[in-house]
Amino acid sequence: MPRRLGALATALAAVVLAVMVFTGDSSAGDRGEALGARLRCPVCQSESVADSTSQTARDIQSLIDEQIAAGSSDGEIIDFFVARYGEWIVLDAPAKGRTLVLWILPVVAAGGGIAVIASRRRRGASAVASEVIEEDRRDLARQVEMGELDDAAASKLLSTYEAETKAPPPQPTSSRGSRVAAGVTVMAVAIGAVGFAVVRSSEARPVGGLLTGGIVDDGPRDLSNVTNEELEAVVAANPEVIPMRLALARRYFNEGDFSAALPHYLAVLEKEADPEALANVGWMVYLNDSPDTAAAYLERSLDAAPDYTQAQWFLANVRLFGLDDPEGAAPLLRQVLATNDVPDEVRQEAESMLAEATAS
Amino acid sequence: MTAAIGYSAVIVALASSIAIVVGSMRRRSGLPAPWLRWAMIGLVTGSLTAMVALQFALISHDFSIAYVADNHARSTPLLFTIASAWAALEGSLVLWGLVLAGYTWWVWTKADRGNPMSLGALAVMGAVASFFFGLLATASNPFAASAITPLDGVGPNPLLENNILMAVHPPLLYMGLVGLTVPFAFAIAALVDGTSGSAWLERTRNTTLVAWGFLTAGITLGALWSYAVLGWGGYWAWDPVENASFLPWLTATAFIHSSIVQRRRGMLAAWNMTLVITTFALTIFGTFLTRSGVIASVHSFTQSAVGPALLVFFTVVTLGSFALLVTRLHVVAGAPRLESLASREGVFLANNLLLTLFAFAVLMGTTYPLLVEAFSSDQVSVGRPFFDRAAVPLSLVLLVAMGLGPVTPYRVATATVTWERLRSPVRIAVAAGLATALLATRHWGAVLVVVLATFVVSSMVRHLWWLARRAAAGSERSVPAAAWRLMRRDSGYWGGQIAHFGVALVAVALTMSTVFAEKAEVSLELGETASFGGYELTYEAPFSRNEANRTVVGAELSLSRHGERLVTLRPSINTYTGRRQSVPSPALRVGLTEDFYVSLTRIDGGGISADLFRNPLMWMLWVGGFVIVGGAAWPLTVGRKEREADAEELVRA
Amino acid sequence: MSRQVLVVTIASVLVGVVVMAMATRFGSDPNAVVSPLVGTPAPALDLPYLEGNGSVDLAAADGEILVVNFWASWCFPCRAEHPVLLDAADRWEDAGVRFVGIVYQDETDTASAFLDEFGRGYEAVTDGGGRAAISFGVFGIPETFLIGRDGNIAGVVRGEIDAEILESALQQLLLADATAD
Repeated sequence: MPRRLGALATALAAVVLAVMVFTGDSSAGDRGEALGARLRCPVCQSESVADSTSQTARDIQSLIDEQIAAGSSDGEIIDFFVARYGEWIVLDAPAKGRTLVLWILPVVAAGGGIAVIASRRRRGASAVASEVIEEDRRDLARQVEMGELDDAAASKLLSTYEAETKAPPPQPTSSRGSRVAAGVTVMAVAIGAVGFAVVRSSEARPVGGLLTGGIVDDGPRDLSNVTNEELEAVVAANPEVIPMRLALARRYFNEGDFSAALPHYLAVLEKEADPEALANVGWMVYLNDSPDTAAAYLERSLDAAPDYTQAQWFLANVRLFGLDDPEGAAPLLRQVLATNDVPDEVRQEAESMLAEATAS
Repeated sequence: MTAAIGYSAVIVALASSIAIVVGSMRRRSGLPAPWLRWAMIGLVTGSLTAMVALQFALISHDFSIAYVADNHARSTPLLFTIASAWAALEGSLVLWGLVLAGYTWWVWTKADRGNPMSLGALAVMGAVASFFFGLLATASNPFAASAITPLDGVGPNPLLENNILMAVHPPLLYMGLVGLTVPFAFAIAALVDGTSGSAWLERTRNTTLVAWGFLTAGITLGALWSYAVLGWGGYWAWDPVENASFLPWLTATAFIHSSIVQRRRGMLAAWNMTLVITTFALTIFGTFLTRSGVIASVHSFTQSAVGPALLVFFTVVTLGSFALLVTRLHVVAGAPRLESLASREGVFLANNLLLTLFAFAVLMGTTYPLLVEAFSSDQVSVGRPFFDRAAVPLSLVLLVAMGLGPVTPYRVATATVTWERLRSPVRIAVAAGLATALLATRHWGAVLVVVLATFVVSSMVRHLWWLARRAAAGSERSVPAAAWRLMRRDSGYWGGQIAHFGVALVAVALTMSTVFAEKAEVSLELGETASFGGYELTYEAPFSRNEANRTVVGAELSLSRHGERLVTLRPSINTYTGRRQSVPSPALRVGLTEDFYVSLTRIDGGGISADLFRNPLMWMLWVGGFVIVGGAAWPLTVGRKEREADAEELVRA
Repeated sequence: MSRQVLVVTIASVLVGVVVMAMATRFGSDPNAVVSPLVGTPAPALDLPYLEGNGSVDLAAADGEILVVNFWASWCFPCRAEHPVLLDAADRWEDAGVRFVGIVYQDETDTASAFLDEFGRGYEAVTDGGGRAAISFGVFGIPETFLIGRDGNIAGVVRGEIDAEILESALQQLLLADATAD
């Protein structure tokens, strides 16, 4: 009877303890801090606003406290930050939306694991050797001695084990064919994944800032997918915008449509002495058989940008072939040749021109 | 010159690793190639020379090597110079290679040369070493030349240069992570060889314990580093880098438990293979996550070809092993011999389920943002709230299992026997809970953890007492002497119990420091005093000093309690010359009930701003961590002589 | 097929899927978070000048294209991108593009010293309490926001901006205007 009484006392104490704990103060503490713990600090790595000591985290925390004081609900405050930083800032991965699967999978895994363990039973015989039986016999004897099993239970278990050894060895539960097929499947998955990983790893990371937003979605960064007509419309709408006009003029110039390029370049030159505009106008003038005027333009271009290779190259041509001034051309050609990113055909031509200029 | 020697050493180690794979392949004689010994010597010398060369390059300020230029400065103190050898990607892989070479050598010295499983394991170790030295020879060459040789380098990352723990923590972690290659290698060898049974477990038991002990120590010191250096008053942030070492720890812990079931009862053979493969795969996956730049993290290293290489290696390891396992399932999968779920085996199964679920939840949480972004380009975060909600219930149930399991009989546990063994522990636990609720706190989490931790400890103590009294009754020994002899004789079991004791300490410390930690932000002018949690903190004086590698600017703060002066705390903000980055260096007063922790956030002519923390029972966390390590070490302290003497005595009796 | 064979096969396929998902991440920067503000009206903020009296009202910038750059003197990439912004501010001024630099977590005197060293060319304003940075959802500086004539945020550049990106972004903004008419 004292044993029963002891158990009763323990149970009673446990109930008292449970009541004390559930009526106890387990409040979560400061509401602002609790909210801070649910938000990710933007300038940190995997730290919450509440944990972080960074200035940004402090700023956010004080804004949270302000909003609480202004009577905002928890949801409103979280939404406020989500609207600015995106779902990224929510650290506690709610059991809804994108992060629902995160919550479901461990629960499914737990259920599966419990089901597997619960379904484990002694299934038929195993290919146990007689030495295992000897071990079991010793083990059982020890357990009986320890009072863990009574004799009857031990001998019952032992006879089960003995019966198992006498039974024919079981067939493997999986056929050879299915094992091989599974092995081949796994290897195929491996090869596929490795191939995919190798291909994807060759992608370079963008450098020099990362642009996100609607702008990039319109297409590639350059204007190559915009027609000349569209660009004309833009330039007409923004007559003051030099870079746009230059881009359009360059396009005409490269296409050889000098009559279209020239007005735009002249419009640019009205605003400022752009080296590119000066050089290209000079070249167009030269091709129009006015080497003196061309040289003047090109020299102005080099005044504005002394290292501008294209102007050096144009002026060298003008001087050598238009003005018959090999001495004036030679230093320019040397400058051109000293530049690294000169196309090969220009380089070859420049070399032969330099030879010609120095020979004479 | 140093670079040439170092790189040659890497090549020698790589060639030796490949030679080990070839030389360990079974020959007609059943013996390894006669030159295998030389390949072993090559691997160890090569990896050791590579590490020595890297150290020499760092110490001799050889800035013609890019690694040295990026991670070292002339002014870096010697200790941190040595530690810089593993403070960045390439160097840490050199350390990885060195540790792997050490374990391979260990396997070689223990191997019996004609045994196909030992040779197969050596071949697997060689293959893994080939991968890592291959990386060092190509994508991650630590001896690559600088583009230009600077006169001085930028020095190591200030966070890593701020505390001595950085010199110790990574080597310990690697001793753990890399050591887990050994059981994996034996498992694969057993599969290739078609050997059934638990011979591979017997051969790797000690190595697994050593590796697991080091991993535990590494994680504990990592938490201590986070606490002592980062200045946020916490120690565990569920950061991907932390998770990367915690994941293999969880599955390795599951493996240590389930391997006991296989050795004792011949069950769970296929499951053990799966666990050991998963554990090794997770060490590689963790390395991939933290070194590839796919996740931004505190100490992630930058993008290079190393990421793709690690991902490919992970795929080959995991899926290659799975393919092998599935084709050999008929060998390893025995029929289940479970008599009843109410038994030691049943609790072991529950333990494995819980630890595996734990690992699964942590893995999901760590990789989920990447998966979402890969499939939908949306960006989400998973952080502490998710991990805590998964970890807390799992840990509580694990504590229950920890109190039950070790005293539950194998095969069948009858209600009478179980209750007999649990009655006193349950009473003591409830009493401890009542005492906590009446005297200290009624917070449910705190009370529950106290109850469960007391249950775990009293259950093991009662069992030891009971066994020792039985043993003493039949001999002239005293009960304590009998208990000591039991613990030495059954060192595996009692080592486990010591580790459980450590876990109970850690559980209490984690709960208390989470529930009762307090934080305040204060701004003080010179001479001003702030009160916080019963303490008074006075800003006495600023101080500053220039050291070779940094400028230390700090505040002398006197801490007192109820008017009684306790200590002067000197937190500072350290600015490292090369990096132009400031790192707070917190100061703390360690106490029996709580730590007082102060971290400066600002110091200037106008005064200081500081974060103050009261963190209860922090010492218990560190002590608990090392008690767990002690538990892992316990069976290894029982030498052969002691075991033989004991066996003799048994025979005589 | 036995249960174990099936389980191992399914697990392997899952591992394969995870590996492929990871592999898609190599080309992307984990620090580049897409701003939800793109396409929404820019925050209406009235920010005081860094130097001198007066303030800039971002909401009152009607019909102008705004380039809002967050910077600080302690930020190294800000030093590198400052000339790019100065140059662009000068060249695009006539097209009705207005540049505003918001000083982020910095002292007034060090920020002024930065401008002394690297040059002035457009308005610099301060952000007391970091409210502007929070309103724009700034992660880490430098960050540059492009606001169209309609007052909506059109794009965000996280990290050091380069001349080419800025140029093409502004061209596209103008282009969008012109084709909308």
